[in-house]
Amino acid sequence: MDTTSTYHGRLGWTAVALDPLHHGAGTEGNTQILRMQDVMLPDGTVGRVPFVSGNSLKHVIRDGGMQFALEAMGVPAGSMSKAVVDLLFSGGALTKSGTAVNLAKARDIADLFPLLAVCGYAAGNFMQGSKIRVEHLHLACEENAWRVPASLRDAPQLRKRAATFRAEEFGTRHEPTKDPRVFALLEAGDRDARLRQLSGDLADGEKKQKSQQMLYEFQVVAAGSVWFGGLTFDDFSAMELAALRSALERASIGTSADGAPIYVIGAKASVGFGRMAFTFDGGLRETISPPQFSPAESIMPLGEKADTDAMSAYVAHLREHRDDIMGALKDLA
Amino acid sequence: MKPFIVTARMAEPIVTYRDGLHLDGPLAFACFQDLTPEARAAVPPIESPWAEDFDLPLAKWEGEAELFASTDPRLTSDGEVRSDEDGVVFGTVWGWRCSAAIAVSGAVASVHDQRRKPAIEEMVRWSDDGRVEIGGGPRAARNLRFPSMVARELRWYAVGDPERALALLRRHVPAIGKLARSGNGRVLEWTVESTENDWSVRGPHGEVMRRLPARMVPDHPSGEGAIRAPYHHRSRWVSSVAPEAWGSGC
Repeated sequence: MDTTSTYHGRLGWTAVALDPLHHGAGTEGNTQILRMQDVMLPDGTVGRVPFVSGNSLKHVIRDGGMQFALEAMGVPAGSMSKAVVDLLFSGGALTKSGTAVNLAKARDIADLFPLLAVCGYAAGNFMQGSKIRVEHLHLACEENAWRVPASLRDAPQLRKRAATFRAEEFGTRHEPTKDPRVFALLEAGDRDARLRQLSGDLADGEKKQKSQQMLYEFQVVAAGSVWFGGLTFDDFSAMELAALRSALERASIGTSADGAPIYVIGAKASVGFGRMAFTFDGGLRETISPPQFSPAESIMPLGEKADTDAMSAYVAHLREHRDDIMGALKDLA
Repeated sequence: MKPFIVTARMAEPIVTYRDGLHLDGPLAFACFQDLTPEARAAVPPIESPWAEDFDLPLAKWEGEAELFASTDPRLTSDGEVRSDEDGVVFGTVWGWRCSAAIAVSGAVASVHDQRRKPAIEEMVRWSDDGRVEIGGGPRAARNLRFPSMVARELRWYAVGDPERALALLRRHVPAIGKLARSGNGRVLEWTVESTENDWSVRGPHGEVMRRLPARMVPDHPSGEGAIRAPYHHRSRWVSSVAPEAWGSGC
Protein backbone atom coordinates (compact mmCIF):
# COMPACT_ATOMS: atom_id res chain seq x y z
CA MET A 1 0.00 0.00 0.00
CA ASP A 2 1.24 3.48 -0.88
CA THR A 3 1.63 5.30 2.42
CA THR A 4 2.92 8.60 1.06
CA SER A 5 0.20 9.68 -1.40
CA THR A 6 -2.54 12.11 -0.53
CA TYR A 7 -5.99 11.43 -1.91
CA HIS A 8 -8.79 13.85 -2.78
CA GLY A 9 -11.98 12.46 -4.15
CA ARG A 10 -15.70 12.11 -4.20
CA LEU A 11 -17.95 9.17 -3.56
CA GLY A 12 -21.37 9.84 -5.07
CA TRP A 13 -24.43 7.70 -4.61
CA THR A 14 -27.95 7.14 -5.77
CA ALA A 15 -30.21 5.10 -3.56
CA VAL A 16 -33.55 3.36 -3.93
CA ALA A 17 -35.75 3.07 -0.88
CA LEU A 18 -36.59 -0.60 -0.35
CA ASP A 19 -38.88 0.29 2.55
CA PRO A 20 -40.71 3.51 3.36
CA LEU A 21 -38.30 6.01 4.89
CA HIS A 22 -38.89 8.10 8.01
CA HIS A 23 -36.39 10.81 8.97
CA GLY A 24 -38.29 12.76 11.56
CA ALA A 25 -38.42 16.33 12.77
CA GLY A 26 -40.60 16.09 15.85
CA THR A 27 -44.32 15.56 16.36
CA GLU A 28 -47.39 17.54 15.39
CA GLY A 29 -50.51 16.31 17.13
CA ASN A 30 -50.20 12.53 17.12
CA THR A 31 -48.12 12.41 13.92
CA GLN A 32 -44.36 12.32 13.66
CA ILE A 33 -43.50 14.59 10.77
CA LEU A 34 -40.80 14.31 8.14
CA ARG A 35 -37.76 16.52 8.14
CA MET A 36 -38.14 19.07 5.32
CA GLN A 37 -35.79 21.46 3.59
CA ASP A 38 -36.81 24.80 2.10
CA VAL A 39 -35.89 25.01 -1.58
CA MET A 40 -36.03 28.11 -3.69
CA LEU A 41 -37.70 27.15 -6.95
CA PRO A 42 -36.81 28.66 -10.34
CA ASP A 43 -39.78 31.05 -10.19
CA GLY A 44 -38.57 32.47 -6.86
CA THR A 45 -41.18 30.72 -4.73
CA VAL A 46 -40.14 28.41 -1.94
CA GLY A 47 -40.97 24.70 -1.91
CA ARG A 48 -40.43 22.16 0.82
CA VAL A 49 -38.87 18.77 0.16
CA PRO A 50 -38.17 15.87 2.49
CA PHE A 51 -34.49 15.09 2.95
CA VAL A 52 -32.11 13.10 5.12
CA SER A 53 -29.50 15.29 6.79
CA GLY A 54 -25.82 14.89 6.01
CA ASN A 55 -25.35 14.82 9.77
CA SER A 56 -27.47 11.67 10.01
CA LEU A 57 -25.56 9.96 7.19
CA LYS A 58 -22.27 11.00 8.72
CA HIS A 59 -23.35 9.30 11.91
CA VAL A 60 -24.01 6.09 9.96
CA ILE A 61 -20.44 6.30 8.64
CA ARG A 62 -18.91 7.15 12.02
CA ASP A 63 -20.82 4.37 13.73
CA GLY A 64 -19.87 1.76 11.11
CA GLY A 65 -16.22 2.78 11.15
CA MET A 66 -15.94 2.74 14.93
CA GLN A 67 -17.64 -0.66 15.23
CA PHE A 68 -15.26 -2.02 12.59
CA ALA A 69 -12.16 -0.63 14.31
CA LEU A 70 -13.14 -1.80 17.80
CA GLU A 71 -13.98 -5.26 16.51
CA ALA A 72 -10.74 -5.43 14.49
CA MET A 73 -8.76 -4.51 17.60
CA GLY A 74 -10.68 -7.01 19.70
CA VAL A 75 -11.64 -4.40 22.28
CA PRO A 76 -13.82 -6.14 24.87
CA ALA A 77 -17.26 -4.75 25.69
CA GLY A 78 -17.42 -2.70 28.89
CA SER A 79 -13.76 -1.71 28.80
CA MET A 80 -13.89 2.01 27.95
CA SER A 81 -14.97 5.10 29.81
CA LYS A 82 -18.07 6.91 28.64
CA ALA A 83 -15.90 9.88 27.65
CA VAL A 84 -14.01 7.66 25.19
CA VAL A 85 -17.25 6.15 23.87
CA ASP A 86 -18.64 9.65 23.44
CA LEU A 87 -15.47 10.73 21.60
CA LEU A 88 -15.65 7.76 19.25
CA PHE A 89 -19.37 7.60 18.51
CA SER A 90 -20.54 11.21 18.96
CA GLY A 91 -17.36 13.16 18.22
CA GLY A 92 -16.64 14.23 21.82
CA ALA A 93 -16.99 17.72 23.25
CA LEU A 94 -14.85 20.71 24.15
CA THR A 95 -14.16 20.34 27.84
CA LYS A 96 -11.32 22.78 28.51
CA SER A 97 -10.62 26.42 27.82
CA GLY A 98 -7.26 27.92 26.98
CA THR A 99 -5.55 28.99 23.81
CA ALA A 100 -2.56 26.63 23.67
CA VAL A 101 -3.39 23.63 21.54
CA ASN A 102 -1.35 20.45 21.69
CA LEU A 103 -0.76 19.93 17.98
CA ALA A 104 1.57 17.00 18.45
CA LYS A 105 -1.15 15.13 20.32
CA ALA A 106 -3.67 15.86 17.54
CA ARG A 107 -1.21 14.62 14.89
CA ASP A 108 -0.40 11.49 16.89
CA ILE A 109 -4.01 10.47 17.31
CA ALA A 110 -4.75 11.12 13.63
CA ASP A 111 -1.83 8.85 12.66
CA LEU A 112 -2.70 6.17 15.17
CA PHE A 113 -6.44 6.10 14.69
CA PRO A 114 -7.23 7.47 11.22
CA LEU A 115 -11.01 7.27 11.53
CA LEU A 116 -11.01 10.07 14.11
CA ALA A 117 -9.45 12.43 11.56
CA VAL A 118 -11.87 11.20 8.89
CA CYS A 119 -14.96 11.95 11.00
CA GLY A 120 -13.62 14.82 13.12
CA TYR A 121 -13.78 15.24 16.88
CA ALA A 122 -13.59 17.68 19.76
CA ALA A 123 -11.52 17.04 22.87
CA GLY A 124 -9.95 19.25 25.52
CA ASN A 125 -9.73 22.72 23.94
CA PHE A 126 -9.28 21.45 20.41
CA MET A 127 -11.70 20.80 17.60
CA GLN A 128 -10.57 18.78 14.59
CA GLY A 129 -12.87 19.26 11.59
CA SER A 130 -13.72 16.11 9.71
CA LYS A 131 -11.99 15.37 6.41
CA ILE A 132 -15.23 14.29 4.79
CA ARG A 133 -18.08 16.48 3.67
CA VAL A 134 -21.25 14.43 3.66
CA GLU A 135 -24.01 15.87 1.51
CA HIS A 136 -27.66 15.80 2.44
CA LEU A 137 -29.55 12.93 0.83
CA HIS A 138 -32.16 14.37 -1.53
CA LEU A 139 -35.27 12.96 -3.12
CA ALA A 140 -35.40 12.76 -6.92
CA CYS A 141 -38.43 14.96 -7.61
CA GLU A 142 -39.45 18.02 -9.60
CA GLU A 143 -38.37 20.51 -6.94
CA ASN A 144 -34.88 18.98 -6.86
CA ALA A 145 -34.47 18.55 -10.63
CA TRP A 146 -31.95 21.41 -10.86
CA ARG A 147 -29.45 19.70 -8.56
CA VAL A 148 -29.64 16.01 -9.49
CA PRO A 149 -26.46 14.29 -10.71
CA ALA A 150 -26.06 13.57 -14.42
CA SER A 151 -27.10 9.94 -13.94
CA LEU A 152 -30.60 11.03 -12.85
CA ARG A 153 -31.25 13.81 -15.34
CA ASP A 154 -33.73 11.72 -17.31
CA ALA A 155 -35.31 10.02 -14.32
CA PRO A 156 -39.12 9.96 -14.62
CA GLN A 157 -39.36 10.85 -10.93
CA LEU A 158 -38.24 14.38 -11.81
CA ARG A 159 -41.62 15.01 -13.44
CA LYS A 160 -43.41 14.53 -10.12
CA ARG A 161 -43.63 16.83 -7.11
CA ALA A 162 -42.18 15.69 -3.79
CA ALA A 163 -45.66 15.40 -2.32
CA THR A 164 -46.34 12.51 -4.73
CA PHE A 165 -43.83 10.39 -2.88
CA ARG A 166 -45.04 11.16 0.62
CA ALA A 167 -47.30 8.84 2.55
CA GLU A 168 -48.44 8.21 6.08
CA GLU A 169 -47.99 5.05 8.09
CA PHE A 170 -49.30 4.04 11.44
CA GLY A 171 -48.38 1.66 14.17
CA THR A 172 -50.41 0.11 16.95
CA ARG A 173 -49.32 -0.29 20.51
CA HIS A 174 -51.37 -3.02 22.11
CA GLU A 175 -52.65 -3.22 25.66
CA PRO A 176 -50.73 -6.38 26.56
CA THR A 177 -53.16 -7.65 29.20
CA LYS A 178 -55.86 -8.12 26.59
CA ASP A 179 -54.05 -11.33 25.76
CA PRO A 180 -55.29 -13.92 28.31
CA ARG A 181 -51.81 -15.46 28.56
CA VAL A 182 -50.33 -12.09 29.51
CA PHE A 183 -53.28 -11.36 31.81
CA ALA A 184 -52.51 -14.57 33.67
CA LEU A 185 -49.02 -13.24 34.46
CA LEU A 186 -50.37 -10.32 36.52
CA GLU A 187 -50.26 -10.35 40.30
CA ALA A 188 -53.61 -11.35 41.85
CA GLY A 189 -54.38 -7.80 43.07
CA ASP A 190 -53.76 -6.26 39.67
CA ARG A 191 -55.76 -9.00 37.99
CA ASP A 192 -58.76 -8.35 40.24
CA ALA A 193 -58.52 -4.60 39.75
CA ARG A 194 -58.41 -5.09 35.98
CA LEU A 195 -61.51 -7.32 36.12
CA ARG A 196 -63.35 -4.79 38.33
CA GLN A 197 -62.47 -2.05 35.83
CA LEU A 198 -63.74 -4.09 32.87
CA SER A 199 -67.02 -4.88 34.64
CA GLY A 200 -67.48 -1.30 35.88
CA ASP A 201 -67.23 -2.32 39.54
CA LEU A 202 -64.38 -0.08 40.67
CA ALA A 203 -64.57 0.81 44.36
CA ASP A 204 -65.13 4.45 45.35
CA GLY A 205 -61.86 6.34 44.90
CA GLU A 206 -60.15 3.42 43.18
CA LYS A 207 -57.94 4.65 40.36
CA LYS A 208 -58.67 3.54 36.83
CA GLN A 209 -55.72 1.81 35.18
CA LYS A 210 -54.61 3.48 32.00
CA SER A 211 -54.75 1.34 28.88
CA GLN A 212 -51.54 1.16 26.85
CA GLN A 213 -53.55 0.70 23.65
CA MET A 214 -52.82 3.46 21.15
CA LEU A 215 -52.33 4.28 17.50
CA TYR A 216 -49.37 6.35 16.40
CA GLU A 217 -48.85 7.88 12.99
CA PHE A 218 -45.81 9.02 11.12
CA GLN A 219 -45.05 10.51 7.73
CA VAL A 220 -42.83 8.56 5.34
CA VAL A 221 -41.39 8.80 1.87
CA ALA A 222 -42.59 5.85 -0.18
CA ALA A 223 -40.64 2.71 -0.93
CA GLY A 224 -39.29 2.86 -4.46
CA SER A 225 -38.42 6.54 -4.22
CA VAL A 226 -35.02 7.45 -5.63
CA TRP A 227 -32.47 9.55 -3.73
CA PHE A 228 -29.09 11.09 -4.43
CA GLY A 229 -26.13 12.45 -2.47
CA GLY A 230 -22.49 11.76 -1.80
CA LEU A 231 -19.42 12.79 0.09
CA THR A 232 -16.14 14.46 -0.78
CA PHE A 233 -12.84 14.02 0.99
CA ASP A 234 -9.58 15.94 0.98
CA ASP A 235 -6.05 15.24 2.12
CA PHE A 236 -6.69 11.60 2.89
CA SER A 237 -3.83 9.26 3.65
CA ALA A 238 -4.06 5.69 2.38
CA MET A 239 -5.02 4.62 5.92
CA GLU A 240 -7.80 7.19 6.08
CA LEU A 241 -9.12 5.97 2.76
CA ALA A 242 -9.17 2.42 4.10
CA ALA A 243 -10.83 3.65 7.30
CA LEU A 244 -13.64 5.27 5.27
CA ARG A 245 -14.11 2.08 3.27
CA SER A 246 -14.19 0.02 6.44
CA ALA A 247 -16.94 2.30 7.76
CA LEU A 248 -19.06 1.94 4.64
CA GLU A 249 -18.58 -1.80 4.57
CA ARG A 250 -19.38 -2.32 8.26
CA ALA A 251 -22.45 -0.07 8.11
CA SER A 252 -23.99 -2.07 5.27
CA ILE A 253 -26.49 -4.72 6.37
CA GLY A 254 -26.28 -6.79 3.18
CA THR A 255 -26.83 -6.53 -0.53
CA SER A 256 -29.88 -6.33 -2.72
CA ALA A 257 -30.74 -8.91 -5.40
CA ASP A 258 -28.63 -6.98 -7.91
CA GLY A 259 -25.68 -6.69 -5.54
CA ALA A 260 -26.18 -3.11 -4.31
CA PRO A 261 -25.15 -2.62 -0.66
CA ILE A 262 -28.09 -1.93 1.64
CA TYR A 263 -27.94 0.65 4.42
CA VAL A 264 -30.51 1.50 7.04
CA ILE A 265 -31.28 5.20 6.87
CA GLY A 266 -33.56 7.18 9.17
CA ALA A 267 -35.71 5.89 11.98
CA LYS A 268 -37.88 2.87 12.81
CA ALA A 269 -35.43 0.37 11.37
CA SER A 270 -36.47 -2.16 14.00
CA VAL A 271 -40.02 -2.24 12.61
CA GLY A 272 -39.37 -2.51 8.91
CA PHE A 273 -38.46 0.97 7.72
CA GLY A 274 -35.45 2.65 6.15
CA ARG A 275 -33.62 0.03 4.08
CA MET A 276 -32.06 1.65 1.04
CA ALA A 277 -30.01 0.05 -1.77
CA PHE A 278 -27.07 2.27 -2.71
CA THR A 279 -25.22 2.51 -6.00
CA PHE A 280 -21.84 4.19 -5.70
CA ASP A 281 -19.81 6.05 -8.23
CA GLY A 282 -16.46 6.98 -6.84
CA GLY A 283 -13.55 8.88 -8.19
CA LEU A 284 -10.23 10.35 -7.21
CA ARG A 285 -9.67 13.96 -8.11
CA GLU A 286 -7.64 14.30 -11.28
CA THR A 287 -7.52 18.00 -11.93
CA ILE A 288 -8.02 20.70 -9.41
CA SER A 289 -9.49 23.56 -11.35
CA PRO A 290 -12.30 22.80 -11.87
CA PRO A 291 -12.34 19.47 -10.04
CA GLN A 292 -12.88 16.43 -12.24
CA PHE A 293 -12.99 12.90 -10.95
CA SER A 294 -11.80 9.74 -12.62
CA PRO A 295 -13.47 6.45 -11.75
CA ALA A 296 -11.51 4.57 -9.11
CA GLU A 297 -12.70 1.11 -8.14
CA SER A 298 -10.17 1.04 -5.35
CA ILE A 299 -12.14 3.43 -3.17
CA MET A 300 -15.45 1.58 -3.49
CA PRO A 301 -16.75 -0.38 -0.58
CA LEU A 302 -17.84 -3.96 -1.24
CA GLY A 303 -16.73 -4.01 -4.89
CA GLU A 304 -15.23 -7.04 -6.54
CA LYS A 305 -12.21 -4.97 -7.43
CA ALA A 306 -12.00 -3.38 -3.97
CA ASP A 307 -8.44 -2.98 -2.78
CA THR A 308 -8.22 -5.76 -0.21
CA ASP A 309 -4.49 -5.14 0.38
CA ALA A 310 -5.29 -1.66 1.66
CA MET A 311 -7.98 -3.00 3.98
CA SER A 312 -5.66 -5.71 5.28
CA ALA A 313 -3.00 -3.11 5.99
CA TYR A 314 -5.55 -1.01 7.88
CA VAL A 315 -6.65 -3.94 10.02
CA ALA A 316 -3.01 -4.90 10.66
CA HIS A 317 -2.28 -1.33 11.75
CA LEU A 318 -5.23 -1.30 14.16
CA ARG A 319 -4.19 -4.61 15.69
CA GLU A 320 -0.52 -3.76 15.95
CA HIS A 321 -1.16 -0.41 17.64
CA ARG A 322 -4.17 -1.41 19.70
CA ASP A 323 -2.67 -0.54 23.09
CA ASP A 324 -1.24 2.76 21.83
CA ILE A 325 -4.61 3.69 20.30
CA MET A 326 -6.61 2.87 23.40
CA GLY A 327 -4.10 4.75 25.58
CA ALA A 328 -4.15 7.80 23.30
CA LEU A 329 -7.96 7.83 23.19
CA LYS A 330 -8.10 7.71 26.98
CA ASP A 331 -5.69 10.66 27.20
CA LEU A 332 -7.59 12.61 24.59
CA ALA A 333 -11.05 12.15 26.08
CA MET B 1 -6.03 44.26 -10.20
CA LYS B 2 -9.45 44.81 -11.77
CA PRO B 3 -13.10 44.78 -10.70
CA PHE B 4 -14.94 41.49 -11.10
CA ILE B 5 -18.08 39.67 -10.01
CA VAL B 6 -18.07 36.23 -8.40
CA THR B 7 -21.22 34.11 -8.54
CA ALA B 8 -22.00 30.93 -6.63
CA ARG B 9 -24.89 28.76 -7.79
CA MET B 10 -26.09 27.11 -4.61
CA ALA B 11 -27.25 23.52 -4.10
CA GLU B 12 -28.14 23.80 -0.41
CA PRO B 13 -29.26 26.40 2.14
CA ILE B 14 -26.43 28.27 3.82
CA VAL B 15 -26.10 28.06 7.60
CA THR B 16 -24.91 31.48 8.68
CA TYR B 17 -25.12 33.92 11.54
CA ARG B 18 -25.93 36.69 9.04
CA ASP B 19 -22.41 38.09 9.21
CA GLY B 20 -22.58 38.98 5.53
CA LEU B 21 -20.64 36.04 4.09
CA HIS B 22 -17.91 38.31 2.76
CA LEU B 23 -15.91 36.80 -0.11
CA ASP B 24 -12.56 37.10 1.66
CA GLY B 25 -13.79 34.49 4.19
CA PRO B 26 -13.91 31.55 1.75
CA LEU B 27 -10.89 32.92 -0.14
CA ALA B 28 -8.80 32.96 3.04
CA PHE B 29 -9.87 29.36 3.72
CA ALA B 30 -8.88 28.46 0.14
CA CYS B 31 -5.49 30.17 0.47
CA PHE B 32 -4.80 28.17 3.63
CA GLN B 33 -5.81 24.93 1.91
CA ASP B 34 -3.58 25.84 -1.04
CA LEU B 35 -0.46 25.88 1.13
CA THR B 36 1.84 22.88 1.12
CA PRO B 37 1.22 20.47 4.02
CA GLU B 38 4.45 21.72 5.64
CA ALA B 39 3.42 25.38 5.33
CA ARG B 40 -0.03 24.57 6.68
CA ALA B 41 1.45 22.81 9.69
CA ALA B 42 3.46 25.96 10.47
CA VAL B 43 0.33 28.18 10.64
CA PRO B 44 -0.72 28.73 14.27
CA PRO B 45 -4.09 27.07 15.03
CA ILE B 46 -7.21 29.18 14.66
CA GLU B 47 -7.78 28.97 18.42
CA SER B 48 -4.74 31.24 18.91
CA PRO B 49 -5.31 34.89 19.96
CA TRP B 50 -4.15 36.06 16.51
CA ALA B 51 -5.13 34.45 13.18
CA GLU B 52 -2.82 34.64 10.17
CA ASP B 53 -3.59 36.79 7.13
CA PHE B 54 -2.95 35.05 3.83
CA ASP B 55 -2.04 36.39 0.42
CA LEU B 56 -5.52 36.74 -1.07
CA PRO B 57 -6.06 37.59 -4.76
CA LEU B 58 -7.78 40.84 -3.77
CA ALA B 59 -6.85 44.51 -3.54
CA LYS B 60 -7.00 46.21 -0.14
CA TRP B 61 -8.90 49.15 1.36
CA GLU B 62 -7.63 51.20 4.28
CA GLY B 63 -9.30 53.48 6.81
CA GLU B 64 -9.35 54.69 10.38
CA ALA B 65 -11.18 52.62 12.97
CA GLU B 66 -12.03 52.81 16.64
CA LEU B 67 -10.39 49.76 18.22
CA PHE B 68 -10.39 47.95 21.53
CA ALA B 69 -7.62 48.30 24.08
CA SER B 70 -6.86 44.63 23.49
CA THR B 71 -6.64 44.96 19.69
CA ASP B 72 -3.59 43.22 18.23
CA PRO B 73 -1.44 45.81 16.40
CA ARG B 74 -1.23 43.40 13.46
CA LEU B 75 -4.79 44.42 12.61
CA THR B 76 -3.55 47.87 11.59
CA SER B 77 -1.67 48.89 8.44
CA ASP B 78 1.24 50.44 10.31
CA GLY B 79 1.33 48.09 13.30
CA GLU B 80 0.24 50.86 15.68
CA VAL B 81 -2.68 51.14 18.08
CA ARG B 82 -3.03 54.73 19.33
CA SER B 83 -5.33 56.51 21.77
CA ASP B 84 -6.57 60.11 21.74
CA GLU B 85 -6.86 62.54 24.66
CA ASP B 86 -10.24 61.03 25.65
CA GLY B 87 -8.69 57.58 25.86
CA VAL B 88 -10.42 56.33 22.70
CA VAL B 89 -8.27 53.67 21.08
CA PHE B 90 -7.94 53.91 17.30
CA GLY B 91 -5.72 53.01 14.36
CA THR B 92 -5.57 52.68 10.61
CA VAL B 93 -6.87 49.28 9.61
CA TRP B 94 -7.11 47.51 6.27
CA GLY B 95 -9.35 44.94 4.68
CA TRP B 96 -9.93 43.19 1.36
CA ARG B 97 -11.81 44.85 -1.48
CA CYS B 98 -14.77 42.52 -1.73
CA SER B 99 -18.44 42.84 -0.86
CA ALA B 100 -20.67 40.82 1.40
CA ALA B 101 -22.86 38.26 -0.38
CA ILE B 102 -25.85 39.46 -2.36
CA ALA B 103 -28.72 37.04 -3.04
CA VAL B 104 -29.36 37.62 -6.73
CA SER B 105 -32.95 36.47 -6.90
CA GLY B 106 -33.79 37.02 -3.27
CA ALA B 107 -33.26 34.93 -0.19
CA VAL B 108 -35.54 33.32 2.35
CA ALA B 109 -34.69 32.96 6.00
CA SER B 110 -34.93 29.42 7.31
CA VAL B 111 -33.56 27.29 10.14
CA HIS B 112 -31.38 24.22 10.23
CA ASP B 113 -31.55 21.75 13.07
CA GLN B 114 -28.47 19.72 13.88
CA ARG B 115 -29.08 16.82 16.20
CA ARG B 116 -26.61 15.63 18.74
CA LYS B 117 -27.70 12.26 19.95
CA PRO B 118 -25.84 10.83 22.94
CA ALA B 119 -24.26 7.46 22.22
CA ILE B 120 -26.31 5.64 24.86
CA GLU B 121 -26.47 2.26 23.14
CA GLU B 122 -22.75 2.36 22.46
CA MET B 123 -22.03 3.35 26.07
CA VAL B 124 -24.10 0.39 27.27
CA ARG B 125 -21.97 -1.91 25.14
CA TRP B 126 -18.49 -0.44 25.28
CA SER B 127 -18.18 1.57 28.48
CA ASP B 128 -17.74 0.46 32.06
CA ASP B 129 -19.52 3.45 33.58
CA GLY B 130 -22.75 3.09 35.52
CA ARG B 131 -24.52 6.33 34.60
CA VAL B 132 -24.48 9.02 31.98
CA GLU B 133 -26.01 12.48 32.33
CA ILE B 134 -27.89 13.40 29.14
CA GLY B 135 -29.91 16.31 30.54
CA GLY B 136 -26.94 18.67 30.57
CA GLY B 137 -23.18 18.88 30.24
CA PRO B 138 -21.01 17.73 27.37
CA ARG B 139 -23.09 14.66 26.60
CA ALA B 140 -26.49 16.33 26.63
CA ALA B 141 -29.02 15.20 24.05
CA ARG B 142 -29.85 18.29 22.06
CA ASN B 143 -31.12 19.76 18.85
CA LEU B 144 -28.93 22.69 17.89
CA ARG B 145 -30.90 25.23 15.87
CA PHE B 146 -29.01 27.43 13.43
CA PRO B 147 -30.26 30.25 11.25
CA SER B 148 -29.99 29.47 7.56
CA MET B 149 -30.61 31.23 4.29
CA VAL B 150 -32.14 29.72 1.17
CA ALA B 151 -30.89 31.34 -2.03
CA ARG B 152 -30.33 30.02 -5.54
CA GLU B 153 -27.47 32.31 -6.41
CA LEU B 154 -25.08 34.51 -4.45
CA ARG B 155 -22.99 37.29 -5.94
CA TRP B 156 -19.98 39.24 -4.71
CA TYR B 157 -18.27 42.33 -6.12
CA ALA B 158 -14.49 42.40 -5.78
CA VAL B 159 -11.30 43.99 -7.04
CA GLY B 160 -8.25 41.84 -7.60
CA ASP B 161 -7.10 38.92 -9.70
CA PRO B 162 -10.25 37.15 -10.95
CA GLU B 163 -8.47 34.15 -12.48
CA ARG B 164 -6.64 33.28 -9.27
CA ALA B 165 -9.77 33.90 -7.20
CA LEU B 166 -11.79 31.52 -9.38
CA ALA B 167 -9.08 28.86 -9.31
CA LEU B 168 -8.89 29.00 -5.51
CA LEU B 169 -12.66 28.88 -5.05
CA ARG B 170 -13.14 25.97 -7.45
CA ARG B 171 -10.22 24.07 -6.02
CA HIS B 172 -10.90 24.42 -2.31
CA VAL B 173 -14.39 25.76 -1.58
CA PRO B 174 -17.12 23.22 -2.34
CA ALA B 175 -19.37 24.78 0.30
CA ILE B 176 -19.79 28.01 2.26
CA GLY B 177 -21.15 28.91 5.68
CA LYS B 178 -21.29 26.82 8.81
CA LEU B 179 -21.82 23.04 9.09
CA ALA B 180 -20.53 22.50 5.56
CA ARG B 181 -19.19 19.07 6.51
CA SER B 182 -22.69 17.81 7.13
CA GLY B 183 -24.20 18.87 3.85
CA ASN B 184 -24.95 22.58 4.16
CA GLY B 185 -24.01 25.50 1.91
CA ARG B 186 -22.91 23.29 -1.00
CA VAL B 187 -21.98 25.24 -4.12
CA LEU B 188 -22.92 23.74 -7.49
CA GLU B 189 -20.75 26.09 -9.50
CA TRP B 190 -18.42 29.06 -9.06
CA THR B 191 -18.14 31.55 -11.92
CA VAL B 192 -16.38 34.87 -12.42
CA GLU B 193 -17.12 37.70 -14.83
CA SER B 194 -15.45 41.02 -15.33
CA THR B 195 -17.25 44.30 -14.72
CA GLU B 196 -16.49 47.97 -15.05
CA ASN B 197 -18.13 48.76 -11.72
CA ASP B 198 -16.10 48.68 -8.55
CA TRP B 199 -18.86 48.01 -6.02
CA SER B 200 -16.63 46.04 -3.70
CA VAL B 201 -16.83 48.54 -0.83
CA ARG B 202 -19.57 51.05 -1.69
CA GLY B 203 -22.44 50.31 -4.11
CA PRO B 204 -23.83 52.30 -7.04
CA HIS B 205 -25.82 54.57 -4.74
CA GLY B 206 -23.28 54.70 -1.93
CA GLU B 207 -24.59 51.58 -0.15
CA VAL B 208 -22.23 49.96 2.32
CA MET B 209 -21.38 46.74 0.47
CA ARG B 210 -19.25 45.19 3.20
CA ARG B 211 -18.54 45.63 6.89
CA LEU B 212 -16.51 48.79 7.35
CA PRO B 213 -15.09 50.68 10.33
CA ALA B 214 -17.69 53.07 11.74
CA ARG B 215 -15.33 55.99 11.27
CA MET B 216 -15.31 55.38 7.48
CA VAL B 217 -19.13 55.66 7.29
CA PRO B 218 -20.05 58.04 10.13
CA ASP B 219 -23.64 58.53 8.97
CA HIS B 220 -24.59 54.88 9.57
CA PRO B 221 -25.65 53.07 12.75
CA SER B 222 -22.72 51.08 14.03
CA GLY B 223 -22.01 48.04 16.16
CA GLU B 224 -19.15 45.65 16.54
CA GLY B 225 -17.95 43.14 14.00
CA ALA B 226 -15.04 41.78 12.01
CA ILE B 227 -13.65 43.76 9.09
CA ARG B 228 -11.64 41.04 7.42
CA ALA B 229 -11.29 37.26 7.44
CA PRO B 230 -11.54 35.19 9.53
CA TYR B 231 -14.79 36.88 10.48
CA HIS B 232 -15.52 34.71 13.52
CA HIS B 233 -12.17 35.61 15.08
CA ARG B 234 -12.28 38.25 17.84
CA SER B 235 -8.97 39.70 16.69
CA ARG B 236 -10.72 41.14 13.61
CA TRP B 237 -13.47 42.95 15.51
CA VAL B 238 -13.70 46.75 15.59
CA SER B 239 -16.44 49.32 15.97
CA SER B 240 -18.03 48.93 12.56
CA VAL B 241 -21.02 49.20 10.24
CA ALA B 242 -22.80 46.13 8.83
CA PRO B 243 -23.26 45.74 5.06
CA GLU B 244 -26.56 46.82 3.57
CA ALA B 245 -26.50 44.49 0.60
CA TRP B 246 -27.30 41.06 2.08
CA GLY B 247 -30.45 39.68 0.52
CA SER B 248 -31.27 42.92 -1.28
CA GLY B 249 -31.07 41.41 -4.74
CA CYS B 250 -29.34 44.53 -6.08
